Amino acid sequence: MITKPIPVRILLIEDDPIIRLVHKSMLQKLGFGVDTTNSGKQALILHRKRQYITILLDLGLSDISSETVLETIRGREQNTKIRIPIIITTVHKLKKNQKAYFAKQANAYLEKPLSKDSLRDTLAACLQTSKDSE
Amino acid sequence: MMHTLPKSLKTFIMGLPFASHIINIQTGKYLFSNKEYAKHQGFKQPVELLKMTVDDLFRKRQKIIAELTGSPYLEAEYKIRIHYANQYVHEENKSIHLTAHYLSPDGFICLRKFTKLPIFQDNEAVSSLLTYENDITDRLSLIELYRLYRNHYPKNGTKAISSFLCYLTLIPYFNVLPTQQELMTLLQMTINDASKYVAAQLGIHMRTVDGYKQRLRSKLHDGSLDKLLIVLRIYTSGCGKCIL
Repeated sequence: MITKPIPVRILLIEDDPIIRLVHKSMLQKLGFGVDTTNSGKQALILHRKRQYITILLDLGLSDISSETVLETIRGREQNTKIRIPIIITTVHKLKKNQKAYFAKQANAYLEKPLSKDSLRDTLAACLQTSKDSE
Repeated sequence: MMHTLPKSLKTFIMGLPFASHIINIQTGKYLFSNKEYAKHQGFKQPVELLKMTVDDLFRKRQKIIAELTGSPYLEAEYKIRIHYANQYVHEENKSIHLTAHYLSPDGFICLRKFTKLPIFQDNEAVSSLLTYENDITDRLSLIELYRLYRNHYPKNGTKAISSFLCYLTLIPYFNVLPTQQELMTLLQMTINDASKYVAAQLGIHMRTVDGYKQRLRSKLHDGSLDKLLIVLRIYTSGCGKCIL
């Protein structure tokens, strides 16, 4: 029986070059393939082209808002069974209304600086939820 | 673990013309600093820093900056960038250059350039981290610099304008602070003072630009926009802060 290969790539959307380097290295050390971009528009192109197991999305992108990226991806998922785990990363604490919004649209949020343990545990939880819902 | 720094390294750091220090990569504790760095952080002597960690210093700064501006945003971003740069040097064993916006304890926004280098132990593991940094704020255009102030004080346009003009030592030229539109007109005029150019850049009518120019003149002590433009152009030519 031929089975589809499991996608193990993560899309990392982060506009700060240093943070992007460190997060990419952390994800690679956890065994994932990583595509990176500093732009929300580019992220949406990559999302259409490739299949990702998870997306790490930074809040406060410079070209389009992270909320637009998130809503576009969720919009594309409508009428499909796919709901890709999206983890929000942020420097600043989320406000109450932001927390409610991201609780609905995203799967988790992490405050920077990310530790390897918190990243690993959050990814594991998101991937497990994603697997259970299939 | 004891970290004994070579005397030659200490001499090198002391001789650097800009702020420099070394931290223990594991604990974040200061191992060495030159006078410029200590002064930049508000200490009289480098030895005062040796009791502290990088996190201690951030906590101290956070308190001062919260009292000063009430806005933790720039500081949080600065802290995160430094944290990630240190982590990168530690884990990748590579040096790194970065620039970061920094709010000085006197409330001015600076752009600082950092170079971070790993210092290796005998067993080739990174034991400590050498940083040297300098202020490159004058490499920003006036418009870029003003945007930083505006972003830093999003709810207080007057504070953004007064801090920006204070940084440039231009407050004494004004008897009344300009509005944001008047200031943007003035900054565009440092590139080209033709109303047609300013209007195109700001997306407004030429007559509106002429009106802003007129109002700017009325807010200056001597009414001379030309004189103010000369002073601003001295700044943009890279000669540092405006000279009165």
